Amino acid sequence: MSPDDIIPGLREVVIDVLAAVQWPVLVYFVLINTSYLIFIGLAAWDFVHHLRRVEQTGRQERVASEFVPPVTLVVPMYNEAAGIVQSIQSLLSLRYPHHDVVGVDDGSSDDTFAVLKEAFDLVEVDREIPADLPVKAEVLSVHVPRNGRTPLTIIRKTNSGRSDAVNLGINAAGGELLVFVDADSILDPDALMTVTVPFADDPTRMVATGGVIRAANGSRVVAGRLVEPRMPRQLLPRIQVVEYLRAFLIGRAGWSRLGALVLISGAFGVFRRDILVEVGGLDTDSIGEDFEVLMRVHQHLKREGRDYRVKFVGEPVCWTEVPSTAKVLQKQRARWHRGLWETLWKYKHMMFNPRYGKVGMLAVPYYWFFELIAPLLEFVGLLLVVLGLVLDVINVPFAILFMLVAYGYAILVTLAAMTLEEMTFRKYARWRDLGTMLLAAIAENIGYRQLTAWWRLQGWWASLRGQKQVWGTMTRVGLGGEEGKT
Amino acid sequence: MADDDDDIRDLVELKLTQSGYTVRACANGVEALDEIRRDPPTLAVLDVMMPGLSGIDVLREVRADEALKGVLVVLLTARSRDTDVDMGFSTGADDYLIKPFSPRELVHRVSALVSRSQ
Amino acid sequence: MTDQPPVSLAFLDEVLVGVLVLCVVLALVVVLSRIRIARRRETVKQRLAPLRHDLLAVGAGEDESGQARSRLAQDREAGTDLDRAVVDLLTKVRGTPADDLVSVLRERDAVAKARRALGSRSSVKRARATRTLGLLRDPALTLDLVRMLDDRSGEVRIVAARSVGALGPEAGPSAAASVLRAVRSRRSAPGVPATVAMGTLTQLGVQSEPAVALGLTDEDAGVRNVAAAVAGHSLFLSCTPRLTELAAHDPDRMVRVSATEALGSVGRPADVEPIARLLAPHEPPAVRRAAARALGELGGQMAVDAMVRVLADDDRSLAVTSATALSQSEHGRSAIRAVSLDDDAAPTARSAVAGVLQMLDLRDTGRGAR
Repeated sequence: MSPDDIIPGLREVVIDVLAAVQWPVLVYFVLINTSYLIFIGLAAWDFVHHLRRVEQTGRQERVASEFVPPVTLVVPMYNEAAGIVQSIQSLLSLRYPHHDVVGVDDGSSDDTFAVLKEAFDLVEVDREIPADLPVKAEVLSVHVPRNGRTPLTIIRKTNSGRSDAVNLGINAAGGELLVFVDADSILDPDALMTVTVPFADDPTRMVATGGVIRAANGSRVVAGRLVEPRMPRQLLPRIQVVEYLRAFLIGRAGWSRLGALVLISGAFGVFRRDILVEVGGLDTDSIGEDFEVLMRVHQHLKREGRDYRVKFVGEPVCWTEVPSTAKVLQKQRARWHRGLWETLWKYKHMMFNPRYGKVGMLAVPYYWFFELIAPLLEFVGLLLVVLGLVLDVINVPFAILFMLVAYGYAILVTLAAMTLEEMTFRKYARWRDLGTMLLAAIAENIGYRQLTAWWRLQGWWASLRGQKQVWGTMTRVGLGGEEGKT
Repeated sequence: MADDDDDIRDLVELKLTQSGYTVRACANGVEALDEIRRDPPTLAVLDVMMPGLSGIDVLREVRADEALKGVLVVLLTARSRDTDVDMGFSTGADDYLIKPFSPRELVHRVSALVSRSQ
Repeated sequence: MTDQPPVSLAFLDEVLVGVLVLCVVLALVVVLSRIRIARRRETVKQRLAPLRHDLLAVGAGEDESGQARSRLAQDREAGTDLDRAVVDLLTKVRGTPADDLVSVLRERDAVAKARRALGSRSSVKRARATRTLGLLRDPALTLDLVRMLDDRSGEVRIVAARSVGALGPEAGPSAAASVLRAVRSRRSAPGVPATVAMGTLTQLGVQSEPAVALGLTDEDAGVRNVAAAVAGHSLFLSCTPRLTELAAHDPDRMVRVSATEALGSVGRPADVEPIARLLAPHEPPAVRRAAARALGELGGQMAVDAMVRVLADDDRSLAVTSATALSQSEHGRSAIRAVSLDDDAAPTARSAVAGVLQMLDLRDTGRGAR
């Protein structure tokens, strides 16, 4: 075949491919975006009820009940010397009738422990830590404040990664409920009350809840609390603010409403301790451990035929710093997608398996078709359009039109999410922020979306080639419900 | 005096002003903290339940600050028996009042605290 | 085929226009809703401005002459906005000001209005009306409130349950039974949240004892759980035999845990033995731990002995829980001190008590650790 033959040959192939895929692609495109709109609708329904209840029953009352279960906050720490004291202090002063904090220092190489010891006047004790879950690391020492009353325990251990640190924290926890919080997360004073409400409401069935995570970049933080949410100044975090807003609505609230929530964020999730111990805690080999553990909980409880609930709490009470550089963001997205893929693969037997109820029949297939494959299709789609243009198979106005429709629909979904936010929680009070958000919703589609799709594919590819995972230090938010498009 | 609720803020302001105190009202924890730092008052009435910085947070910051050592703090807490009360005292509150509260009781407690400290 | 672009979807133009129009509409909705809410708040504020002073005077208990009260009672212009403002204020004060606000509401005919609104089609209006009636704390309204426990909207049921609780013991035993029944989940919709029901039943005091006793045998696990927690909290002695049975045999694990914990509060020395049996290795870990905590609450020689026995158990969580529970009573504290000094005691048992003893010492003296 001479070079002259290649172009027409390629052209034929592209035409055939385009002709073959145009309808499936269109159907896929309509389905995925419509599903987003449905999810936003479900979320709206959920939030309206939630807010009405808050309005009618009063926020005051939530903290007032003596019947809420004791909670232990488990905080894995790795080289957090800079903000750890403030962070622990703000966790200790959350409003809740009985909670304690267990901090696990995962072999930090900086002086995380030294600053804690100084600030809380820690002394070493010989407390036995039960081995309910197997832990790889060696426990070096256990410390408590000298007054014997401040409900804080700090455990030092050899470095073994976040999941192992969390498992050790679970072992040491005395509470019936466990809340996992990253040391760099900023919680509202009422955060604990908010996320544990479902357990107080339905104690016999609730096994896990997950909260919303919002981007803290650019917001005003005083004394370890986020006092005024503001839009960040940099472009990447700005887009992520909008992205988080939408992703949590699409990925969580709707599924929660349907009773098939399979993903709650590792950075802010609540579990019943006994259930976690039953399923064996976090999988230290998993890269998407928050997704993995909840799938395991579903699998376990469905197999045992137990009646249980997993719920999402829509009120934004947890804030975290999102990556502001492309490099960190790239690592994060590659990791998330890799975690998604590996977990879906591990639990592929649940797909369309009626034994697993809505989780098996709805959620798992959805994550396969619309979460996992989305970046691939988006990328192939873009490639075909570019090829088609170059080879003059599709004309320019048509290509532009197609892109406009595709991205227009995506912007529509984002706007719907923003409308819901505006009607419900209204966290961004300044007009300027509203404008910035509208712009970010559009800007997201120019470059950011394509880049993240590419990064996600890289993560997937790395897993398929069997590359070893690298432990990064980025925040573990696990957007999951973050979407791509074709 | 800090409370995010207009009614309570106005009520407390009215009641304490009538009893001869000078009252500075703040709508949230951050304002209150700024105001306390700018010009330390004899006594601060803080609502525990405020968005952003809670009364407990403000109290914690005040107690951590040497310059604000003499500031008396009364917390307005929710109905609960222990929650806020325990936490308030362990953070260093001088007194507390449970909501819904009796405005007259507030005045009594405030004047008792102020006279005791003088 | 090559002249004509092979890939074309003729209706894309229309779709694009539709999408763009929707985008603009949503953006407008965002902006307009923001303006509308701000404006609405402003209007209400202005309408109430002339009455604000009177409202605060009554709320602060500064209205000795009753003039402010009568002005509020007679005002017709501010209408429901004023009613709502009075109700809001009523949730924030107590004592004489609260009584005065209630009388303002009564004179403004708010009771009749609220009772009418109980039949409204809007669940928000029904919830608001229920709340208003509840705030009046009038036992004569018990039936109205109890009826709202069956409302089709979950929010209204919650408000109704809380309002019944606010009435206190005067609501009577049948109200308690209705509250407990409302906990049952109905088809897919959840019933009244457990904490809300527990709070209400506790507020009703002894009046809820018969209902709670009956609730312990309900077919709904959620109801049994609520009943168990309330029986423990309110010290309903008549419930102990049934609690013992639930703790040992209930099919729902959470109910077993709740019943065991309740026994820790209401139990008598005679209940120590059946609770101690729940420490047996074949019981679920959560139940065993609950039993250890309950024994810690009950105390006494038999309980202490049973707790000491599990200090060397293979379930280390149980051992540590037991050690902590022992540290609650003087009797238990001497028992764990004895264990720590006993060279013949199992090393595991000594390990379980070591940390607990250190915590005790820290609390006593601020010293005692390495």
